[in-house]
Amino acid sequence: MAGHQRVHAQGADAILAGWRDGYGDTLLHPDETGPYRTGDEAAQELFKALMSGLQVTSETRIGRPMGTFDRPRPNRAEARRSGRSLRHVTLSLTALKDLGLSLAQGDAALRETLTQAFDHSLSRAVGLEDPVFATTADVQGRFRIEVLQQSINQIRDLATQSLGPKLGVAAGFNALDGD
Amino acid sequence: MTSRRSFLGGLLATGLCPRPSWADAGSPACLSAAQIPDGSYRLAGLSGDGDIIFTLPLPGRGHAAAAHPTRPEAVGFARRPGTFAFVLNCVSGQATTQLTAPTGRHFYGHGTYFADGTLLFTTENDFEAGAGVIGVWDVTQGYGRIGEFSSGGIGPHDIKLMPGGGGLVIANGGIETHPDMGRSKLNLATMRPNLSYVSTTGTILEQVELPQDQHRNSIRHLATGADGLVAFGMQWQGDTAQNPALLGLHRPGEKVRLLRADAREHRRLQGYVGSVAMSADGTQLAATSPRGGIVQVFDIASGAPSGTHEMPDVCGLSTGRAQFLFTSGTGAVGTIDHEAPRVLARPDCAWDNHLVDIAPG
Repeated sequence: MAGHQRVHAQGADAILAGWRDGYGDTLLHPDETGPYRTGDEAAQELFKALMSGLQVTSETRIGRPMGTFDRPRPNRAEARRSGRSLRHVTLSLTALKDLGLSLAQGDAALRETLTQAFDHSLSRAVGLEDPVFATTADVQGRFRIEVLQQSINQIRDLATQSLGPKLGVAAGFNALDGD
Repeated sequence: MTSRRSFLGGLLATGLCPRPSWADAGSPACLSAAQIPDGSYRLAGLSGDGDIIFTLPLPGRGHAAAAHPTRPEAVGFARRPGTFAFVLNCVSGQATTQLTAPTGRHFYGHGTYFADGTLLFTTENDFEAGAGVIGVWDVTQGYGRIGEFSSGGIGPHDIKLMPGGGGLVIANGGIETHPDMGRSKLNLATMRPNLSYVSTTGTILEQVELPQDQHRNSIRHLATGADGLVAFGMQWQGDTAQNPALLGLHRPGEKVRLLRADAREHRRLQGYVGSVAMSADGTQLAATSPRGGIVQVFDIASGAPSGTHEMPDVCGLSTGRAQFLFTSGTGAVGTIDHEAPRVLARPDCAWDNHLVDIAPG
């Protein structure tokens, strides 16, 4: 366990250093020869990060311990032995809310809708009182976790339909399918 | 005068009933799934001129299809991670058989018939083992499942029959997914896609991997030329800044050739190729990117790009006749080559990912 934590801490330090010593600059100063030619392209990269974060939180952090109705998998919850499974969901939603609102800058109505959607999910998470998703195997617990998961999927739909097009992300039938 | 009807009637009376062929379904050049305005999904047969010849109902969103080499029969695959596929009679419009993936498997959305039409091969996920599988179905026995073998990797997506009975070529995309977790990619850090050549009984004949620094380049879609050249399209799962080639050409026994436009044009693919096709004369390769809303065309001999054309939400691509045929999520059907696209028709539907060629009868 201690070994795992040390590896995670080192990884987090490396990521932070990467942002501070270069990548942040690359995103902030797009140019013709860099990976991002325009501010729009840099914003699209951050939008992708927002969508990936929401997907992982919904499908992996929550979907994995949920398993199927016939075969729930509570033992597969992320960071279960550290008792941090639900906390990771809350931390991720909090960070993604910040990112989403930054990307929606200049559109007060969209910021308000996003705020409501994230706050709705966060209140569901706070009210869950099941720190490691141990109740995926009982009907009532499972239902409450599923409601949380669906509320995150609603944020995903909202971001896809309202935020993506604003940032110039192709929102077509095939562009969104991604397969 | 003998009418076709009385002639056929006479044949029936003698017991010499001709088997139905694709001509009886109006001789479509390709098949594609589509969503129609009421929100439901259909499989359509398209002529080489882009006209819709028939449409048949599908129970859900499709991905690709497989066309029987001689009979007017097609299999429409559900979108990943679906567990159902439907065999459709393209003359009567009826779904004749339902294929259900065995327990512990789901379809990836692609499949191909053996050249004589007696077997169907489907790409599948053995999701508890995290291993790619090719399902084998006996067409002559009402599409009974008769076996399966390893695809040679994880996440097999497209599969094509090699010309001249050379077995199968499989695009193992390398990405592990599990249906409990939607389409979340579970192994990006360790993924290792490959191109696998496999005999129809499952013997791996040859496998090709890209260099280690491109291990996040998911090999997804394939096209085969009459001379055995294989083209593959990729989807980049790594750092945007790296921006590697997304198209490759390979001939069994030889080295891979990667094709890439100059940095500016290449970046417009947005790290994502949706479909690839080779021209009928084998001289050109085309690739679509629905994310970039472009079609890129290359000269196969020189590897040089010969055009980048804008077409919103374009994805479906087929060899066509003199030029490639494309479809888009906005309903457009048209032709394209190194010159600008020409939209032939724009029916009120959203064409789904792939156009599937039907062998000319």
